[in-house]
Amino acid sequence: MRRYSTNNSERPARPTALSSLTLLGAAPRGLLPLAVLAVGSLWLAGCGGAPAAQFRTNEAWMLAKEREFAPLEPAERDDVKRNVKEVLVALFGTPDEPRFPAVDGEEPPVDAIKLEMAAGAVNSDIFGKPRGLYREHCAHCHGISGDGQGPTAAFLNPYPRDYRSGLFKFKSTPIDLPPTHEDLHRILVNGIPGTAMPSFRLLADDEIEALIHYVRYLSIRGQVEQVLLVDAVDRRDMLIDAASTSDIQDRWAAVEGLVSDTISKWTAAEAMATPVSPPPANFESSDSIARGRELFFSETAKCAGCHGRTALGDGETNDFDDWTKAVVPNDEAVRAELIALGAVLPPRNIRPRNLRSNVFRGGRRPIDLYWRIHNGIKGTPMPAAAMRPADAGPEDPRMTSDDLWHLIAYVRNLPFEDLSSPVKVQTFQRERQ
Amino acid sequence: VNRRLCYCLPALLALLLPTGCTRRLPPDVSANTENVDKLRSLARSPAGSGAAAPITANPTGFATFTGLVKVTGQPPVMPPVSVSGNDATYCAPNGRAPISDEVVVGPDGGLANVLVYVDMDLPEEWEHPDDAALRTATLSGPQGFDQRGCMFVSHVFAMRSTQTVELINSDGVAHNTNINANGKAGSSNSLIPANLSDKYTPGGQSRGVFPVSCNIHTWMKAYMITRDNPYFAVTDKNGKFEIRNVPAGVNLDFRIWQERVGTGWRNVTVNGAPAEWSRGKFTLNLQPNATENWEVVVDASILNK
Repeated sequence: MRRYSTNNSERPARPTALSSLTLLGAAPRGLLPLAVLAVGSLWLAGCGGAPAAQFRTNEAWMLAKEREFAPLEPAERDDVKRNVKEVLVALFGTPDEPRFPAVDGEEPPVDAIKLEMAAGAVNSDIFGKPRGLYREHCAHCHGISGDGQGPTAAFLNPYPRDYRSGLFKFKSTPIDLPPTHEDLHRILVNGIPGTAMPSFRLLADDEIEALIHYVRYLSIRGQVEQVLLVDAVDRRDMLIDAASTSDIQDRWAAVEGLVSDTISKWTAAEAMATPVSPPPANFESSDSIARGRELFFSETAKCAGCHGRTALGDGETNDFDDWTKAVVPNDEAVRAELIALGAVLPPRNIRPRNLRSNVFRGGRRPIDLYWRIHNGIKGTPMPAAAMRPADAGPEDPRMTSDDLWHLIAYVRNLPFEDLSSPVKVQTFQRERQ
Repeated sequence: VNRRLCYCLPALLALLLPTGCTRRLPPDVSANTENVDKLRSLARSPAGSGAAAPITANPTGFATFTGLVKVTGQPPVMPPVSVSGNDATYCAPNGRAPISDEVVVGPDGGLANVLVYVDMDLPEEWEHPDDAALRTATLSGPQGFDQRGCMFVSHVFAMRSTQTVELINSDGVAHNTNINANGKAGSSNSLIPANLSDKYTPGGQSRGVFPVSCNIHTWMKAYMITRDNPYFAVTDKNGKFEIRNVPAGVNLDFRIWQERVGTGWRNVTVNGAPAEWSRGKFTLNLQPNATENWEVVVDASILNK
């Protein structure tokens, strides 16, 4: 019977990768595989154990900016990342100990108590109130950092939202502004039909509130991070090495200026929901729907250009959304490399909505459609409608608010047209192919 | 032998399993607690003098900065853009698609669409009266931002953040001018029906250039920059640029950018002498009432992807 032994004269000991395992040769035979497994499982524990949660650097964004401006030297790169991370930790803390920077004269859009309720590990306080709500309900899709790359993200279509650009699609505000509190509340309570985003209606009100604040926190932190990373590869006005930078006070003031600009946009958005003019008396009548149809196919509204002459969402199917465009170039080789690195999930084309399916992601109420058509959808190709200026005469081809309502009437009626029955849609799609 | 295998197998498994958790990106850096504490103590100290460094000198007059950006060697040949979609017959009449304008080199090697600008915040009082008068002007007509033949007429467009620009659609089909701004400049994405126009007021200075696209015609691509001060120029189709009424007698930090180059300029000569533009930056102190004229020469290989 042979066994591994370090003092086996026939086989002199060699320092190999397995030499630590051969030391176990002295142990009773039956225990050896067990011991090997035990060592192996200890090793595994090193991976699966729980080190303190960290916000991960927005690597894909940084790589994109290096391609856009000029690449950093590898040695310099880690220093720059560490410098940016230290500024971010100073401002926003960590996932377990979040904080929100105070800005003079601004009501903070993130409340410290709600932040604490949503942050950290899943737990409860001495009164039995939940803690760690974000990690309990959101992080598995949206990720600890709000990067939309949680463990389940790769299996979902569409991918979960990456909050770090501060861009949100379904909102009441003009395209340039963040969503209002009410907008985020609506998404959390209703979910997003046609996606993996469920309704969180069953959570207590204060828990939903806490999550809204946490989403805002991750968004603002992510926006600040993006600018700091651009600056770090480009101008370097805000790059601070706490240990050596000499004009640290001026640079810190610039960072605070950036934070305050970012926050004030969120604060300003609260009062900026687009006003909605009342619908005309004949809204959703057959005349109204017919006028809407006319607009749908017109050069004025240009809906059919992307949503297709069929309204099945098959007009323009090769575009990407802004989250993708910001980090993934239109270059196959770079794209493949980014995916292989694990920096991004394989990008998917953005599909114009199939308007015959009766699934409206941003809500099917007329007002939801009004905001989306009037303002456009941020982060996507969907533009704001061409509205007739107040000083233009009736010969101006652009839309009045009544026209907009008629278009909504047509869009809301599309799923109920005869053509929209699943059998007919399938036949139609076959014919087009 | 079999028995040895039976010992080895678990060992090999134990070795293989952990590879499942290795990250492909390098592990993220971690923050140094001492540094974080130092930064936090800054946050609590009374605010500094502000972001901009104090300005010590005042300009002694105005100067003109002109130049020619020229490439030597064979520049990359631009392919036609790939036209698809409903408007293909309009945008590519007789199947002839417009040529990509990512790199435009004139007959004498002049490189078009190079952006040159003063990358500093300067006092408004330094402005020449001619510039001050145009501070809130509306750029329309030939000065506007036009879309013609399903291409943006200005591939690189610079304007003052306080001005308004007319977004012109000279085409018989609709465009959506998707302005994806950064910094303090506002974004906009409005549909512009055939032969109509819209307006864009940035409302603030951008951080650098930002993309403009049309999603109906996905090949359409341009860049904009919005600046608080009026000291910027984009080279024309012959590679020439001119910035008038630049404050003289003070150090001005310039930047120079081109789409393919970014700010990574290499092997540049200015009037025959090698120039080192780290991150596309250079500093100039101009003589009052004089014209600083540059001939910038770069090798065409810098324009390769």
